[in-house]
Amino acid sequence: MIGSIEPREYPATAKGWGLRVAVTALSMRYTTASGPIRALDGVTMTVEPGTSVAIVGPSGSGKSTRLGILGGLETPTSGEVRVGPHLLSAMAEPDRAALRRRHFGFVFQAGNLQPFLTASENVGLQAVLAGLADEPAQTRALLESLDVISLERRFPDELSGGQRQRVAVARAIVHNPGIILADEPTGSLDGASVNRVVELLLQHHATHGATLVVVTHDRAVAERMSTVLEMRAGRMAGPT
Amino acid sequence: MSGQVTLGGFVQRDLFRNPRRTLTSLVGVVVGVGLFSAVLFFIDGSGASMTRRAVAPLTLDMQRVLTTPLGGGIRLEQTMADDALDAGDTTLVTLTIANDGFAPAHEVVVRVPPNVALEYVADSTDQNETPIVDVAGGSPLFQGEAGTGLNIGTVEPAVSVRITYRLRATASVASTADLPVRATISTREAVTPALANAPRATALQTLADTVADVPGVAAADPLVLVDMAAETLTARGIAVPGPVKLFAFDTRYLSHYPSVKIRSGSMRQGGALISAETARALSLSVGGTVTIELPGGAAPLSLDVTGITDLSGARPLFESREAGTLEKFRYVPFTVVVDPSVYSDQVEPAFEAAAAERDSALNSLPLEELDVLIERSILNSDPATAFAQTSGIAEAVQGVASGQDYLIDNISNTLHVAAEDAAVAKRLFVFLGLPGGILAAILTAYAGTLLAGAQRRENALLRVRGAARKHLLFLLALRTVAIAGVGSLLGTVLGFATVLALLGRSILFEASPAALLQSTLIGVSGGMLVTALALYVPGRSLITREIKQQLNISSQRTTPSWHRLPVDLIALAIAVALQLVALRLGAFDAPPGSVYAGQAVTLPLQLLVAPIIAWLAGTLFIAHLLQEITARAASGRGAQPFTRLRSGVLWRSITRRLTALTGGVVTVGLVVSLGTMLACFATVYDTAKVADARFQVGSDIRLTPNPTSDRPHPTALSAEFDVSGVAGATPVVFSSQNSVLTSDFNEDVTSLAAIDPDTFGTVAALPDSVFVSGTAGRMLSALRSTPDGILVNIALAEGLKLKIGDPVEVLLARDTDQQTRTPMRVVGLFTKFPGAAQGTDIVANLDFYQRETGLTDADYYLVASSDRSVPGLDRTVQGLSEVQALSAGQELQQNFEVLTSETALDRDQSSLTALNVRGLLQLDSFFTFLMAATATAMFVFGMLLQRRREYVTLRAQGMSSSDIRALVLAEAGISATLGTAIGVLVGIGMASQFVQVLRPIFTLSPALAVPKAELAVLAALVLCATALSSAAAAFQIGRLKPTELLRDE
Repeated sequence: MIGSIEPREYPATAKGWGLRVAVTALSMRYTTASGPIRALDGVTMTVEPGTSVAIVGPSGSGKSTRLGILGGLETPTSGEVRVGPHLLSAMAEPDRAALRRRHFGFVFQAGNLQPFLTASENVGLQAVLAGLADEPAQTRALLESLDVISLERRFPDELSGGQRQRVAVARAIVHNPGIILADEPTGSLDGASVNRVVELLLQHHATHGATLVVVTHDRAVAERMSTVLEMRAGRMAGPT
Repeated sequence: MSGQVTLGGFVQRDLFRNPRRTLTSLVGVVVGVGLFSAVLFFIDGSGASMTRRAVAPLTLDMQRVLTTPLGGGIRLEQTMADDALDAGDTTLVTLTIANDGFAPAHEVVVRVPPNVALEYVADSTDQNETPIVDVAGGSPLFQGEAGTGLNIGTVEPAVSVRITYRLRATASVASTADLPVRATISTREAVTPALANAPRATALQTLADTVADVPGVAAADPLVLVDMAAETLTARGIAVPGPVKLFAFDTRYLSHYPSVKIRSGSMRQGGALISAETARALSLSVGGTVTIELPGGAAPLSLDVTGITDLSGARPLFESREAGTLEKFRYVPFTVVVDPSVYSDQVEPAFEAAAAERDSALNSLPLEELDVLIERSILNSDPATAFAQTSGIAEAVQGVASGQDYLIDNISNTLHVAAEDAAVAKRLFVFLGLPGGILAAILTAYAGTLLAGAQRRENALLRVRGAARKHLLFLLALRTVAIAGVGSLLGTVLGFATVLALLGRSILFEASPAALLQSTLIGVSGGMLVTALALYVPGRSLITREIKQQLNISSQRTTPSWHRLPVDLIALAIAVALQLVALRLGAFDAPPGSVYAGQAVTLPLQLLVAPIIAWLAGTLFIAHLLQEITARAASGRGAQPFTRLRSGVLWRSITRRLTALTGGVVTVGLVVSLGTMLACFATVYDTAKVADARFQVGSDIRLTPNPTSDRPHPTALSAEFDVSGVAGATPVVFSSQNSVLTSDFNEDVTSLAAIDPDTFGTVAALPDSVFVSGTAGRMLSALRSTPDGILVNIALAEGLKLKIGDPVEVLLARDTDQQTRTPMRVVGLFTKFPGAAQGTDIVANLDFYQRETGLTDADYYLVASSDRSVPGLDRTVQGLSEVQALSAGQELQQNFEVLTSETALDRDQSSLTALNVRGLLQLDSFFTFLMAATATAMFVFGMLLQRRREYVTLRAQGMSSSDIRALVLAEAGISATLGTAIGVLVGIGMASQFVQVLRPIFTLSPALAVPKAELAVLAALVLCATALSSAAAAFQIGRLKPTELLRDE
């Protein structure tokens, strides 16, 4: 199965890498100590390649769960998820991992950089995971473009929140993925940093044509995406 | 208060909703407290059997030996002329020595020590009205510094001697009757001084009846022993060919002392029991008639033989009761037992009559004694308390009609040694148990560190919600109490169950319920206190640090002080210095004797300090060193791009988080080093025990001709031993005090061993270390090349001022018809000699000895077995039993006492030492294995707890599960491997120090031994635990909820 996902060349600056995401009747249930929870309830949606989508909604509405399922990190209870030509919801974990490392870029609220790697190594690791060579020059260029080149040898706990998130963006785009999934990427940043991070994501999306899906509470961030989808109680409330 | 309830509820939910985290901490506490409490229960169980084991081999608990058996004998009466005295007054003291017995009393000595209130009036002493000259200006009744008494010579029966002297009062004396009587009398026949005015001698049976009523006494049985001349025992005109011993006791004595065996027939009133040797010599059987020639002109005593006895196992009957040779065993094969009425009606009167004769030719008089059995069930399990009990009983027994006998208190002597052994045992338990306790605390602290690390996020969240430092500390305290409390309780149960499995129900429950309850309370409370501290302190420190970091008080990464300071080096230096001082001061040197010789040993507790410090500091030091080397290697590589995924991530993870790795390495290292030390210690202990047993036996097997054997045992017989399984055999002549060694300076009665230098070296257990003047080979060679040479015990040589090359004179075959005095020469010195480790004074060449004495018999034969295993020894003994010259158609054991190094070990187990070291080592090893597995699992699961977000992030980044598993396994594997390697290294070093404490316990100094197989098992176990833990951790990683974890801040 893993052979069906062909490794790609190191990304050029050309557009057109964006992947289509199609979700059909997606449901997700958890069992907790206080009883079953329905995190997603028959969600259906499509994100066209190269578009940017914001998913908004109150806490507990299932936004992050949906992002996790889109990223192949979790398996839905029922329903289908298709990313590009791949039926993600039916793939085994090794195949999903292969898909993630080559085609997906993740940005999390806390950055989630590896604490024992420097900024440049965090970026280089993703390149190596994607089957590319860790080219220090390329990494440096990327970090320079994100204005964190001076921090390349610093460890995550030596960076500010905004700096960490910019490095996280660099890590998410270094392998020029077809889809970028960002879960509250600005949730813990101040105003200036929020703008900077959103700019960076949109800039990459615009330059390389990657599909961008952002889960956010921040209306201002959401409105900068081409489409905004709202979720309530595990269901799609429709475009806003 | 309501706030506290809320916080308590929070902690409860936190503990239950994070089962893995709770379990990780709990397991550390349970295993640690388990070991701690197991040692306590082990001491209870082992201690409970110490008294029982010590007294088990004892056949005679107490012996009251009457000093004047024949009708009371000599008596001393003291009177004082005045009832009261003023200062300066003088009074006349009269001493009357009367011989009421039937035999003369020889060398009668009267001694009167001075009294503070009364001083001797010069030249006032008279004997039968004849003045006695003062000695050196003082009383002739108390002469010189030693206070020697006045020897008045022989006092014939029915004769009395009167001695008078005057005393002057130095202060007024209200009543002279209240002054303590201090005059004593002793004779050659009754060497124990008897006080004046002692009550008249009590009849033996009366004494027995009274003593039997003393609380704590189970039985008091009269016994009479009479040594008689050869040829006094006859049948049909044929006499036995040697000296005769006559015993008088009743059937109750037989029932109380099972070592007295009746082979055939039974004891009947008016009849006689004769020994198997007598029966053989006189061709008698049950129903025959034996005649005993009595002294004093009495008619011969003819008795029906009602039974045949085997007294060869009844050692106490043949042990000397004389002060100079007390307990010396000298077997007499020709014996006859009569009942007490026959003795009192016919034997005793005959001896009284003979003793009353002027110029009596009696060589020895009857010896009467009361053999006392103590009620053993009342004895406390603690030998020290039991010793106090038996001493009290002995005092009460001696208090009955005192002054006419002396008491040999075997049971108190045995318990005194056992009490000291027990004290040593407890110290040794501490020696071996304390590192386990320390490790338990360390393991708990490690768990505490992991727990605290995993608690960081919760603490941060609570602070966001307004929790202050005191709230966090309170939560920590509640969590700590819960884990430490439950863990200590479970640990104590585990400890109890383990000891129950190890010692068995019967031994463990020999301990009193109070002792077990006390251990339970100590286990739970002590364990809880220690583990609570070990859990709380790291947690508190982390909370404080985090708060400081949040407040920007200190943003620096903190490392433990032992990382920053060379405390490990300093501690190591201290340990080495302490060990050197201890060695220099001879703290490990053995006192004379060994556990085999029934002597208590000493074991100062402070000797424990250096090895413990070396263990902790050594592990830290090596881990520190490795950390430095790794850090330098990492910094030398600089920033490198990723080339290989797994190795690139692994190298960076390890080298940049050395503190975390080192924590695991140190913990595993400490556990493994303890396990290594215990394995080495156990091996050394076992090896030393076997070596000691072999040294004690002399070789693998010792064949000692049975006293009941009627066959000759020439030294040349050893040539017949050439059978399958026998690697060599050598004859030895040895008996206690069989020679006298005379130097230019002095002389001493000595125990000589005559050996064949050609065969002894290859057969006997003869290490070079027992010689102070050369190797074993050189010493035997000297004995071979100098036939008249002797090897001398170093202590004796010092006493006689002898050195190598000095001429000496030796009386060989002392107290035999062949005794002869011969000039010899010292050719070597030794400290101890195999076969009779503490008893051999000199060693001579067997050929020379036989030439000089004309004696040809050996006292025992040593046999080396080609296979020293237990089945091998059994096979060799079996082979020997098939040698016709040895067995003579009978069982080998009928002609020889067969002692192997294995049976010597068994004897040691059952008789002397209460040191169940092997058991404790098994207990420690079990918990060490458990702790090794726990430490490894804790490291792996701790890593998982702390790094789960890293792992799910790597998953999100696309790293495969197999790569993540490989990372976990590799990091845990490196930690476990390094920890194991360090542990083995430090453990061996620690063992080299610890085995020093065994030196006082064994005859031969034990040397360090490394059990490779056991260490391989330990290492394999640690690595298996690592693999299993890593597999379990990887499984857990697969089950983590990424969405939830990745959103966490």
